[in-house]
Amino acid sequence: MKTSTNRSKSVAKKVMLSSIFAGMFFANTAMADTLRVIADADLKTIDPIVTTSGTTLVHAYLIYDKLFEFDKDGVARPQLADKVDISADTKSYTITLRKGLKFSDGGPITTDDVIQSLKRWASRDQTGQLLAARLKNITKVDDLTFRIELNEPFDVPAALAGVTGNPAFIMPKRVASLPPTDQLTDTTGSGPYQFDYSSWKPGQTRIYTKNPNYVPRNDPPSFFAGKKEATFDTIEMAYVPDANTAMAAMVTGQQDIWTSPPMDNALALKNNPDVVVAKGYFSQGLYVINHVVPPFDNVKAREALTYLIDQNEINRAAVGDQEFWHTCYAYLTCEGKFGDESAYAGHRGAADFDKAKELLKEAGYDGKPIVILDPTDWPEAHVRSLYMAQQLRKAGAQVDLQAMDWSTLTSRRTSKAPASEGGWNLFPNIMEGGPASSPLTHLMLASNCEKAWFGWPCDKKIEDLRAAFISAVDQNEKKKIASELQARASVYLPFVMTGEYTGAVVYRADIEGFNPETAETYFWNVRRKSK
Amino acid sequence: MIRYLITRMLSIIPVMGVVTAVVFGLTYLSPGDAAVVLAGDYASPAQIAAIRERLHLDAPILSQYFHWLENVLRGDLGNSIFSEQPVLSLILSRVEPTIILAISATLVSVMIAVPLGLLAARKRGGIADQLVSFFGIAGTAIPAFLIGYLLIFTFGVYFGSMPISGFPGLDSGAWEVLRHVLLPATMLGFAQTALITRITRASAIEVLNQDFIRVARAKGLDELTIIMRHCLRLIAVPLVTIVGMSFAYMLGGVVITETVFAIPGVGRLLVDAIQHKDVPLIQGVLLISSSVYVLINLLVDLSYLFIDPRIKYT
Repeated sequence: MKTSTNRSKSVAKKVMLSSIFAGMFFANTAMADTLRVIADADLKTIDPIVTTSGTTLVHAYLIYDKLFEFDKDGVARPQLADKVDISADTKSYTITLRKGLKFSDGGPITTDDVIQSLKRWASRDQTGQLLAARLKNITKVDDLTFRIELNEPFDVPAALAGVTGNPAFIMPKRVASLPPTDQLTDTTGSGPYQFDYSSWKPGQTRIYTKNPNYVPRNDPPSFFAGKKEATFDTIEMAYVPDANTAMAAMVTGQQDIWTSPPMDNALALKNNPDVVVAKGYFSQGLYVINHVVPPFDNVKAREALTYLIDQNEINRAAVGDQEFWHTCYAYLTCEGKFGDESAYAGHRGAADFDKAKELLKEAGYDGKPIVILDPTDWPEAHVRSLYMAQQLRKAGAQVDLQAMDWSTLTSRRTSKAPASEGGWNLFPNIMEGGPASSPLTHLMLASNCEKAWFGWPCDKKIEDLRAAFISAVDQNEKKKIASELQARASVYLPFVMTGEYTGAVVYRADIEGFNPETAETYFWNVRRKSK
Repeated sequence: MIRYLITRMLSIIPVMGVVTAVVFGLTYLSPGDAAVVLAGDYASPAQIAAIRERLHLDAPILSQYFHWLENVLRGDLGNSIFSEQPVLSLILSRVEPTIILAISATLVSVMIAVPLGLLAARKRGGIADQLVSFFGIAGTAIPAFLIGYLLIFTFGVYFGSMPISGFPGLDSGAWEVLRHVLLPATMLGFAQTALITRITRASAIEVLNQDFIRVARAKGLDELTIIMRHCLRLIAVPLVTIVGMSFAYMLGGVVITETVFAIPGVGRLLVDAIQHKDVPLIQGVLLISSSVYVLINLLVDLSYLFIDPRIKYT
């Protein structure tokens, strides 16, 4: 009886206090027609051609559309394009736009806009540059049709549907006429939402409103392709730098979607019935290796690294919950359509220190410290740095583990100096699943020596196979070449893999239609269940 | 007086000269490359080199410094490397929440700290004094972010009635601003309250032990009059000094409070600029923050003339 009375008093007290505060400060329930999203970072640059920043791409996907988009099977489907006619030799593509398309300012979308947008894109994007290198001519047929003629076969729709890097967004001609290094300020777009520039508060919020002139496709949505419906009148994206505050905002319903929570915070919300903790987009974990300085200029030393990595062990330490990672030995990822684990010829499974020691000796390792760049502001990568330092030491190597922030690492990695003179030997990194799944876009697989990504791997066989893949249009032929490429990579070792893992995404339980497993998060077709 | 004022104003010039040189040198020496950050993680070395050239980041440091100084003297702080917006307008866009937060936190702390400090001094050695002293130590020892989280989980999550992030801007009305600022101002004011309480207590104990206070008591004046009319006037100088300095410090941006409550103030602007190696923005924020600090220091010095007529500047 006493307990019951106390409980009643406690409840009454809570209700009374709640009423007082609720009365003083009215409730914060999000408005039904506004989707509130905690962005992964503050938006710094609004031009998706100037930067490859993921935050800018999320912004750009809301306000721009593309000629083609990938569906869930990885097939490039027409988006702003209505149809594409391909010549028998796959060297000529005649693309027709859908009728009645308009930009957010009401102006018509014509082939003049499209051609100028593609020119700006091709001058910056890596895939665009591959296309530009094969381009013979790009000509306007009429306001709705244009033709791309090539010197050699190339899969143009797949290139134009690319999701990461600098995607081929369609902008008005006047905007796309800017030099590719100058940032645009006119945000007139071709996508389902428009950017409310005047209400943009850098460091806090940015607001997108429904584009009244956007004409969605009628075919069902599939991944990035198909119908893109602006279901919310407004999308408000907030930058909440503190993870605990963001978590509280999700719990209280002040925010609807949290796109990149730290894993610890996400897992803490797993049992909360008001939110859904889902797997985000997958990434390939890897170590970038410097191929131009000893000891990893020798393939035996690179092979030694594979004997030091136990993918189960490293992912348990770096990621934790097994729902969010798995082992993978396919250079083009296990989830991508070209991935082939059977092609991998290297070491798998538990670490073998004796073998690693033997390989390091064969490589002529002289005992000088191996410099590992350790990005301490990126928790998972930091753990991977510590792991590799420990494994190398167990194999008898000297290690110089250099702690720094990621921003500093991005400058340091440009150095080709010997490790003892300010250079480096290896650092942990990831490659997003989308670009990592294709030889066309896997930057760290490209082994074109001086022109390659940092680490500068140099292997003619890999480059020949990449060129063959780029020119191939038939899917079966592409798969065959991709398998050969992965087999070669497992021998040459442009980088070493640590498995695949996904981040977490948190959203309120009343949100539906949201696909968290995409390379760049998009918010069209997302609904509130009560609507 | 005027001569003093002119001398103090002129002395700001070499101070700011040193500040600009130190700021420029530090940002140059700090590791990182804005071109690399701007280009993005997947940019090729050639793309990075092109950006570096466009932004003149490959010029010699002295050339960059004098070019920047020349522009500053013309009132041009340059453009942010990332947003390409003028640095001055970026800073001005972040000043509103910082000023409101600083004023609110100062008000909260002064209104709590001065009465508490006076009470502790009056009841020296008693329970009230011990409680206030404990509060003073706790306020200094407990990390500000912990107070912030406690406020968030109490008023944001448990009662669910307070906004826990963002700043709506004055154009959305005083009520909205008050709702958003109350928790961060309390968090920020907590540490300041502890500091001001301790200063008030120490100063008041010294004054209350002086002969003229004993005379006032002997004449039969009540304690309230003694404290309000005699004690407060004498402790005003150290109080104004500490309040002025903490206010100036807060105007430079309070990173932790702004981070915990996602307030887009000057502090976060500076931290973001440092993380992105946005050199013009770092220099602009530090230059203006330093100027404000020096200016408020001057105003505090001048305020002594009005608080204590015995002070004269010649």
